[in-house]
Amino acid sequence: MVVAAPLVAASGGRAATFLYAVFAPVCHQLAERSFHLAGHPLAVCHRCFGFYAGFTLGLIVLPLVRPARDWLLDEPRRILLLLAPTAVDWLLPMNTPASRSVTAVLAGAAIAVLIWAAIGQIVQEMPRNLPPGEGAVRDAGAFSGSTSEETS
Amino acid sequence: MTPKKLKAAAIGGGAAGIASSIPLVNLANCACCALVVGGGILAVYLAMRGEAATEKAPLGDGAMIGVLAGVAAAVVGAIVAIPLAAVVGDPMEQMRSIMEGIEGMPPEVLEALGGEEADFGAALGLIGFLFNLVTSVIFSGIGGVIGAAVFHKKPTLESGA
Repeated sequence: MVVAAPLVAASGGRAATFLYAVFAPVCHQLAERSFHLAGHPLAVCHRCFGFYAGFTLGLIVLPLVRPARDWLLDEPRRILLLLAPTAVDWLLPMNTPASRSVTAVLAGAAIAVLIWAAIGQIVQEMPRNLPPGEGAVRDAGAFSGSTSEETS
Repeated sequence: MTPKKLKAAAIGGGAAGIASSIPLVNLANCACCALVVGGGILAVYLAMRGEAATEKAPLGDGAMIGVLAGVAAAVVGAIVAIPLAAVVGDPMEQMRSIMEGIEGMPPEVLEALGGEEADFGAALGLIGFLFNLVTSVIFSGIGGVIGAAVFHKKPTLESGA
């Protein structure tokens, strides 16, 4: 959607209003602080684009890169180290499009790993939240293999 | 979900919702929804305060508390926005001024915002609320996970774990 907005705007489509409006509450959308495509700014600024790109990258790639993932999940507070460059860059008056987006990619990827782990924890705890009857039905069904450890 | 966590989510979300409705203060949300993320972090901080140390960071709990705080932020924000709109002005006009600031915005887009198509009133308000709800839930959930990662206490050797 971020990339589609300028392309739709370039073709004169009215859907561009919708696409830009979706991101308006979460980003200042200043043209001079945004990457351009087809002569139009993306729907978000450099930094937000970096966050979304890093988040997507983090969800796809980092779960497969075990050392990086474990380094963060062993001590989740380390996320502060990965968020710090964005904060420092934000405070610097001489930041550039590259610094804004690269530091945000780092932060976005780190957040993605934590979100991935959080969803894993929620899914793991789900059977415990089910009433006993439903759990028994589930155990007898397609998920019997995955829940056999808990019932035994 | 314990009453303590629900209360924490309500306080964190409520604070974010109120802050997000105040003109000028709400500009902080332009920095990746900072107020809403902050609401999620605050909710998790309140929920984890005084909790026992655990080996694993409760990221899942943090996400759930953050999501609930996001719902609270959207609801409180909508409630606070009604009297504020009467004082500050029409939100559609504000949206139009934001869109005018975007370089290269097609004129027909601006016409659509200011023309007859804009006379939807309640429908646009509802769509705006739903957008706000979705973004608040997502960003506050992220804040909740960050909060759980930062405020998590690991058991020390002295505590016998």
